[in-house]
Amino acid sequence: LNSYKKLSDQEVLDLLARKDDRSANLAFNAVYEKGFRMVSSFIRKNGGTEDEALDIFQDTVIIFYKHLQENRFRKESSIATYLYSIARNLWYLQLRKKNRIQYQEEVEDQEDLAVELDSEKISIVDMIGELLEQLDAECKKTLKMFYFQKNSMSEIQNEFGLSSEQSAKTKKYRCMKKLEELFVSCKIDRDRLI
Amino acid sequence: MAEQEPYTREYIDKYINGELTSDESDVFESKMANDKALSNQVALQRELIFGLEGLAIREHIQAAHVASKNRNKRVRTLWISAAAASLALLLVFWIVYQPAQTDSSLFSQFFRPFPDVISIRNTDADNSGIGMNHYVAGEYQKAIEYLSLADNASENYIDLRFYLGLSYLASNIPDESIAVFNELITIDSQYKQQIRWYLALAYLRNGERSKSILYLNQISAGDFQFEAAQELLKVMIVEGN
Repeated sequence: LNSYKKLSDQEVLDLLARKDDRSANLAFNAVYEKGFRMVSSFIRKNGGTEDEALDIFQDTVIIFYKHLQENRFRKESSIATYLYSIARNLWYLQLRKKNRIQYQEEVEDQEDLAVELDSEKISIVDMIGELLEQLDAECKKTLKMFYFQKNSMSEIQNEFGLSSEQSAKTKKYRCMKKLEELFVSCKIDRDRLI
Repeated sequence: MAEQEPYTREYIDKYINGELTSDESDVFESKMANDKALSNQVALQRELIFGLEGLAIREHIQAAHVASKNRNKRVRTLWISAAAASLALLLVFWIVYQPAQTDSSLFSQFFRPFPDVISIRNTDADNSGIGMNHYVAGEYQKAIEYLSLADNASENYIDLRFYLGLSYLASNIPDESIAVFNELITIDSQYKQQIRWYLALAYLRNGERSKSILYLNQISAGDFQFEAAQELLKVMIVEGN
């Protein structure tokens, strides 16, 4: 019970490299334990609420995960420090967008890691979240089973009573195709507005 | 052609997931370099997968947050139940002996920062070492900034959290200090006696005399600050100050 609380940074990184649901659960619970309290404390002391801290922390972990995939996390600092650094930058960026501070003043005070902010990427997550809701129930479930619960093709095959794993693969790819069409069209609309 | 497309996507997926061999990857990358449509398709696929994985991460973190809140609630409920009887008795004292001396002045009278007994700063130039240097220099706000970054995998983690709690207390942020000490008091550490004393002071500083008294009563003869605890109890309860 709560075994994730004792995981070292390296163990968390090993778990994140695996692509199964149990490892992901353990790893993200450990990431939460390592980083949330510190991030929440910082945000609440800098004009934010607990809910805002949770939103920022979620986006922080997404960016951290992306950095891992791109081998940008060099283990020069602990996971907790790295998360804190990303969260701090995200929060200052958000304050600047809301005109709650003069961003430049804060940036000059920063001595942290050269963590490149990529809030554009976060907007993709928001967009995909909205588009997923526009898919039919089966497609939404298929994609969630594959990408959220890390279910295998065989499990997707059983869930929908399909004749083979290949049929499950085809179903998943068709759903991705639909999502892709919606995504492209949404991007075109957004670009027109800009 | 319509049936072919899923297999192309599967191949792109394998490339993005790093499931191709090194040779296959090289061939695919050189193909992409000469095929704009293919490289655009890969970029698009990456964005879609990033978006879906991002949503999954949000769900994981949300679930961890809810679980953590529920755990804290259960611990609080347990603590409240266990302390209920004592609190009822203390409430009587609280009503009978109205405090004349303010919590703040009593706190100032009794609080002294615990001396630095760990020696990590000579060997460790990272956040922990810097934090301890600030603590020793009495720069408690700066100490908080660095000590709060302590990695829980560090062998000095409990020491650093203890000094973080003290720094909060010395900076007049008793609620954060209480949170840190309550986390530490459940752990069997060398600071158990000290934590009882400083928790009592933190609750006092926070205006929660009943909880302060509860911890002062737990300090036994021979424990850290036993005499001071008795004196403080006397002031708060017996003399009705």
